[in-house]
Amino acid sequence: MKISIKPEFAKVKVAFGKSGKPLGQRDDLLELAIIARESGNKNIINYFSSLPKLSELRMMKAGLLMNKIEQDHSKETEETKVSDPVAIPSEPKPIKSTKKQPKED
Amino acid sequence: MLCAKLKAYDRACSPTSGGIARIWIFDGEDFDFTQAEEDPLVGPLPYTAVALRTGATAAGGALMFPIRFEKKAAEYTFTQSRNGCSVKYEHRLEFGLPDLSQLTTQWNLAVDAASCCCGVGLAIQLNSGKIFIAGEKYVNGSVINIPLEMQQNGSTGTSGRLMEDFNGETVVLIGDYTRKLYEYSGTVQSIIDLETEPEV
Repeated sequence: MKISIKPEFAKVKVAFGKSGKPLGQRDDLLELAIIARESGNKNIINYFSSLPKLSELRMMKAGLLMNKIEQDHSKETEETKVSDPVAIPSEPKPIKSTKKQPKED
Repeated sequence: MLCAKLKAYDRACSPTSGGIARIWIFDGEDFDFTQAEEDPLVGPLPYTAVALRTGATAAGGALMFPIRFEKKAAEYTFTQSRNGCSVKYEHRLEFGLPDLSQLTTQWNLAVDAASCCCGVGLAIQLNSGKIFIAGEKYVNGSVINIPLEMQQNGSTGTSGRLMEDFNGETVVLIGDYTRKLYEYSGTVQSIIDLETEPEV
């Protein structure tokens, strides 16, 4: 379920988490939704057009966290492949001989 | 356990610093603070959000007003005392305002009026990064159980005598309360964003 606020509250500023920007500009409304449910603050709850139960909100947060962990893991795996110091070169370098080569007349 | 529920003070080992970084003054009637339900194991939790109350508008002056105080000249203190089972916390915020001027006169008139009528609200960011709230009036959409009225009382001012002397005033805001101050858990940026009106 997507979390959204009522259009009439898009310009309302609420300080929480990382900023106090108007609600219409926030990308962290899930945090405010959890705050609303944990506190039961009717003023905050009223900003939302629909608000899932606290358990559902926590599941959504856990899902987002799992996605981020998977993305970070994939990224780290890719970086490890690129910068692998023991990677074998595709073509082995020719070995220089230490013996003196006979001069050509 | 059989008489009282106590708990350990076991903060994670890390350095901290003294002093105050930022101070805001606000009308406690304008803002509604949000607090999760008390945790029976740890006690009351910090405030997590600050919103304007119905009827309060930024355009009408419902803002967090920053105080540009003299650096290294601000201090928050409290003194706990008891008389039998009656506990009192005397909260005190002291800071220096440089440059005696019409501006400081206007500022004091406004704070004196607020002190007489309803007290002033304060958000205080320590150099440790923690933000404390004093003088809040509304929590979770309802009037706070017991209000803390922070009032200007005991401020002093001086022109100084020598050129290098301090010219300004030392503001003292005090208030008696039943407990210590609650923290606000959001970032300092979230409070700074409440200093201005939303862009249209």
